[in-house]
Amino acid sequence: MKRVGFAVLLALWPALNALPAAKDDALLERIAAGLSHSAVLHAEFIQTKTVAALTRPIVTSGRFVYARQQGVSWKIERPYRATYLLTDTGVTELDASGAPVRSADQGPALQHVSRIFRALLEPDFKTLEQYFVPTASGDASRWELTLAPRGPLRQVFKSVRVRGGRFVEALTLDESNGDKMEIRFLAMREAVALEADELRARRRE
Amino acid sequence: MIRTRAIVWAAVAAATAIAAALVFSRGAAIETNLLALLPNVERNPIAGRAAATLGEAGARHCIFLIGARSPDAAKELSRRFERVISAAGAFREIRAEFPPPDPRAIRDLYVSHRFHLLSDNDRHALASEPRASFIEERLRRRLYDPFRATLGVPLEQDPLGLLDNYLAALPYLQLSAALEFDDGFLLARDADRVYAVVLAELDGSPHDPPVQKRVDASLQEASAALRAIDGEATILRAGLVHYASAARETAEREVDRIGLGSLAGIVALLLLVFRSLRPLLLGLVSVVVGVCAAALATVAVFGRIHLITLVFGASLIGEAIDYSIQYFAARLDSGAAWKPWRGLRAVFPGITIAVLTSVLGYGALAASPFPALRQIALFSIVGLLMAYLTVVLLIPAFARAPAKYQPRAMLQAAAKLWARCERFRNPRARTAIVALLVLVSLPGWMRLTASDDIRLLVNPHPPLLAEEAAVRRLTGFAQGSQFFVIEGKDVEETLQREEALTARLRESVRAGALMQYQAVSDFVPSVQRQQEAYALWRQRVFAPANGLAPALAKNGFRGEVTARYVADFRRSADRPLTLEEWLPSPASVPFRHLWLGQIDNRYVSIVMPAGFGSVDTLEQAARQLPGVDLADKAGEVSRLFREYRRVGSVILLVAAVLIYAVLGWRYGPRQALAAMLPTLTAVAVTLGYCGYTGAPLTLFNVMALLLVLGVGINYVIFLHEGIERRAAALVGVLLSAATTLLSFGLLGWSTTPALGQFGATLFTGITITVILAPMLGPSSTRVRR
Repeated sequence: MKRVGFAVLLALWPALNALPAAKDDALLERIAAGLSHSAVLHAEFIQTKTVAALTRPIVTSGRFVYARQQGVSWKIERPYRATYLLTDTGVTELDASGAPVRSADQGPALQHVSRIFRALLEPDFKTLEQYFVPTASGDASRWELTLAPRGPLRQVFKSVRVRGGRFVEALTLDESNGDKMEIRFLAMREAVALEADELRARRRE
Repeated sequence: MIRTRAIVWAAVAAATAIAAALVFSRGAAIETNLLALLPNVERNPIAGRAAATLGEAGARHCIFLIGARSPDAAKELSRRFERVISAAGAFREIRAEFPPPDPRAIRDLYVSHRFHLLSDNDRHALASEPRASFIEERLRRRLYDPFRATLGVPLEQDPLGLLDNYLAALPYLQLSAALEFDDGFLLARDADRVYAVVLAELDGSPHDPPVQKRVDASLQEASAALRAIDGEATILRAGLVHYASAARETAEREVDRIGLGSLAGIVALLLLVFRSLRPLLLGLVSVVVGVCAAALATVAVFGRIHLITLVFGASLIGEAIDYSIQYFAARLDSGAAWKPWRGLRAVFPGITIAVLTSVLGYGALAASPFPALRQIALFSIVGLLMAYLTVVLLIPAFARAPAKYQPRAMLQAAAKLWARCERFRNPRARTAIVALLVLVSLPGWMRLTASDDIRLLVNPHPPLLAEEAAVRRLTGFAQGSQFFVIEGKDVEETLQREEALTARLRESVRAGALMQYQAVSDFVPSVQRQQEAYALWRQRVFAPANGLAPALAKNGFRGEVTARYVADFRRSADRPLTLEEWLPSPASVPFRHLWLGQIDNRYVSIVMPAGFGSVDTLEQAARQLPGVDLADKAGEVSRLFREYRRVGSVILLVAAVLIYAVLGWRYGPRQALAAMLPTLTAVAVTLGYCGYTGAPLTLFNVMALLLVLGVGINYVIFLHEGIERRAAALVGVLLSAATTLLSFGLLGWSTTPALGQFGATLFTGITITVILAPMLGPSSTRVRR
């Protein structure tokens, strides 16, 4: 009880956060320079999750739209339909009609998840370096990033790998409990702005 | 006889001055904690003790942010800062390094009790949704939802993700992104700087001047040391001790400035009028004796003298000097026929009635139940009485010769002024003047507002406020003085009572009236709540009819995984999570302070709310819940101010009645009323003035009005009793008013809003009184002797 000040302060720890250490990897800069800078990206994805407790992997597929300003819309089409919006404030799930599903208990905790996931898609090295220590290999047209998690994130992930060229092509997440998730991106294409119906969907949010 | 009296009194005066010098040269008897002036009124003694303990602990803590360009520089500087400060010994404890909490510890504690725990949301869903769809839906989310917050609980231990949901709802994961753990340090960032957090605990009370001085000195040393390493190093401070230290310095400076300014003004005026050092020096002797005795008496009765009393006392000089001014003004007028003791006889009735009314006025203050007012009353009564006695017993012995200088021009001007005023001294003119002034003040009264804000007492210190705001912004650390105190006869009752409260708080969170709260019962629910949760698990998840096993099999779960899961559930039937298990675990580290433990055989916890717009939200939440109290120090102080203000207003009336009784005894009821008219009108006009200027009515204004009443009556008495040498009496009164205005005008400079308002109100009231006193006083022709 003597430590009220300490305790209240400690209570504010963001479990998934840390600061950039030394970077200045020349390759990172070359990779960043070679990335697409368009405002909007469309792609399809296939997500495969391998878990020891399950006899078979969990496979999900669908499409996503990445908009630099507005955030990410992640549409699962198989095995069921669901849409998630990733913005600065967190993750919102939309139902079939596009209305937000009443968010569960997880609400605010998802801010970091949203931040990391969007940073991985871009990829946004500056944000990623707050959570990981990156090591790059290859060259600007064909590169692979290995991200070693920092701080408390180490308890959740063993490592994260990002592969790509002008776009991110695949993500591999190794969880510390042995689970493994791979997301592959296909048919990546650039656009100048969001299409009208996509904008509408966002407004309704 | 007369001589003996003077000698005895001279000895008393000298002894008083020496004793005061001895006591105050040690400097230990001065209290700077403003809250020490307030009585401790608590509705619930346990809540009060819990609040006081917490408040004390909070008041001792300081946060420092050490800023630099890069994280490494910030870490190095904060380590250096810690070393310099701990070497200086100003703090009991100082910490720059913080190991990050370990998600594994949290996970391990909760996994073994997971079937007794449910998030609020899941509990509602389990109780209401059709079972099959609940299992399907939660399983789907757990397996396919790509975006989940998790502490890494393995799928086989939590296939429905309900433990994930429970943990995500705890403040472990949902806190602000402000602070970051990095390599054993806590870092905060803004656009171009990185700050390392350093926490420290004081080695004593933040209101203790030696503690304050040690802190200031060690901070200066540390700041110099950091600058030597990095020219751009910054230190941001937050903590009560910095404010207390700044407030003490300001108050000391103001006491010096007001006291010295008041003294300088009095010296200049007296020299100008009397052209002699003797009246000045003897007048000062009376004031010094009065103030020294007052300070000694206050320390003797209350143990310590409060700074507010000292500042108030500094302005009392203006009233204490009035008695000697009257005495020497009479001497001015009497020429060569002057005899010191006969001169005293001439002013004796006037100054005696004056001191009597003042003592009665302040006596009414002493009868109030509030220590602040009693201390000021004692100080004033003793100070004025001693000054008066010095004038009566001592001064004539040293003022034997008649005045060498006769200010004829001044006396003539006074006589002329008096003659002008005389024209108004008839019932018709008096009624007209009073009616006009009251009429003019009336709209002002309508606009009068009251304020009992605690900030009246706080000296605004913009640099410190800016630093603290920066610390709050960078750390996300909110320092609230409001929290709930929950008590019960055992742990279980306390937790259940907490749950009744948090159910309401969650409603407020949903309604957007509250951002979040922290409560032990969220981390360790009551046994009753945990048994309910286990029952829900059994009926809604594990009962064979719900189809858990087929659903798991359909989604690819291995048979042995499902079997182990069901066995885990059965095994944990009678093993709810207990407080005894939670408290020592690393998972509770950031939240242990919420459990206060045993106080007077009761079990006590606190619930911390954060991000609420109004205290009403909290008051409503605590309403009619047994064992739940809202601790609200700021609100309590404001309530207290309100009571002080109301009691003060009543005392103002009581004092007026007492003064009227004394005057009525001497002058008869009608004349006494006339004698009170100038001051009463001045009080009325001052109130109107406050209304017009938008200055709110506060406790401090009311006290100023009480002084206006006491001092203003003196002027009327001096004029009335001195009617036979009216010119000299008027000079004396004008001189008294000028000295009083000088000292109170300077008080108006005070940066503490309370003292500034006090000074401004007094200034207005005294000015109006001194203008009205010669015009409205009792008729000169009918003095009853």
